[in-house]
Amino acid sequence: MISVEQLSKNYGEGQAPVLDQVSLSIPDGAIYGIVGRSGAGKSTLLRCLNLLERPSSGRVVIDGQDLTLLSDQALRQQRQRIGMIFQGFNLLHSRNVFDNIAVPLEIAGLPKAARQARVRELLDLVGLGDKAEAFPSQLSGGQKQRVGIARALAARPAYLLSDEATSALDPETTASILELLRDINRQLGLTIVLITHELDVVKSICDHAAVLDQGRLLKSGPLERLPAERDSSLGRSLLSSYNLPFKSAVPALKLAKVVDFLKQRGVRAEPS
Amino acid sequence: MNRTIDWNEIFQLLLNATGETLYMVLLAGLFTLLIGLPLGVLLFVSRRRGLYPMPRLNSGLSALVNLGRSLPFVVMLIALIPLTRLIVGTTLGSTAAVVPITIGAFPFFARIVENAMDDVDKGRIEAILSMGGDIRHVIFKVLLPEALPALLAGITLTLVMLIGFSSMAGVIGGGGLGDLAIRYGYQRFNNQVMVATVIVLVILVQGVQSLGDRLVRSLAHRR
Repeated sequence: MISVEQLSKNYGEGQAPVLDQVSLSIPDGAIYGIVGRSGAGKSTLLRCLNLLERPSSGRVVIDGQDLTLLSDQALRQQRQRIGMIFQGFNLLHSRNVFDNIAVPLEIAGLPKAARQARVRELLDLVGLGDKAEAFPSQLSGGQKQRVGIARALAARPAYLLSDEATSALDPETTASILELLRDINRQLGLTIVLITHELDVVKSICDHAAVLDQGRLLKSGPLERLPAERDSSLGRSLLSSYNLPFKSAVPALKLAKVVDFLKQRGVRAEPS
Repeated sequence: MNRTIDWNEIFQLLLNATGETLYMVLLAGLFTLLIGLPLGVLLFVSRRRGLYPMPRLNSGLSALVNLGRSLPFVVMLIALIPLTRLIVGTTLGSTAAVVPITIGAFPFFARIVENAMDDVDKGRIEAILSMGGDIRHVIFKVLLPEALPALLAGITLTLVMLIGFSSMAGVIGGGGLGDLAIRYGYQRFNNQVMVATVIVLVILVQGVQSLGDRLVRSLAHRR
């Protein structure tokens, strides 16, 4: 279990805090979504969970251990139990797919034979068995994220942090990556914490959620899964506190079509 | 004064001088790499918001590097004569010239290394840290391999600069093509030797540059 207690992050005197007294608890086995507008502090909150960013005050307790009190060495040990995937994938371009997935295993000090067996397993798990020799530049976005997921899972972590992992992907690819995350959550019992600005992501796979606004936690807790129960108070607050343009907006018109439309009605552009 | 010498003699002179130039460039290049690469990495990681912040060391090293780069090479060449004597035992010859050439070049190369590291996507560093990697892992699994094309381009640039430096070492009797140009072209007005020296230098620089470019391209190709 991850529990975040009274977490605050300030970058300087006189500046508004990026995180303001945030407390939440993430139960084991959950898919926990943290939503909010850009600048709400989601990314900072996620980075505090593995201490890539150090909070100014407060505690991050994972399985009973307060990460903020650990030595560098012990913190690195803990981080091996917390995988992370990224919006920009962050694969190493100097290594092929196979060697990218092997990085956490090299860090963990696994012998070569064990590394190779584990990487093979992971390639199959994410469906990239035939891409082992490919370099990241030769992959599509969805394939890169699959490599990212395989890499994050390599050291058999108990937790997976997802930093806008689908935000750079098209809708179909997003759906397939979300499906993969859900499978992993079910099959491996992995706890997933994801941040996103896309409400649809939360609705499609999360069983818990928290809404963050200007560094403050507005609401958090379990989500109702059924459409009929979407009107639970958290569901409503998600919708109301997070006005997503694509829920109600008309699809964008192509400029050329607008111009045609206006021409047909005798509207002429002023000669410039 | 302007006597012509036969081509055989010129060829022999050029061969010797080219050998001396290559000796100076390669040896100084090796030392420049050995000093400049770790120094550049240190400059990068010790930055105020770096991986291992050591602001005081960083500003000290940075000042030193700037000092090394602010002196014109000809001045440094002469100013370093006592140091050269201390290290090599003599101030004449190609081996002695390696000392000022290295000292003139490594600050420049260290900055190139630092900039190459800075251009590596910060997200990739973050990814390694998130896996529990330490600074050693970041340097050897991310910074150096990911910056390799930029580093090779920087090495090429530095080698070309070293060819220039080694020629100036002729001023203090360092031998090599610069020395040849001074002794025959400047002091004896021998245009044959002068032209031949220029041609060899141009070929050397072009050769180094195109070899470097090819290496960088072959690496960038699969990434």
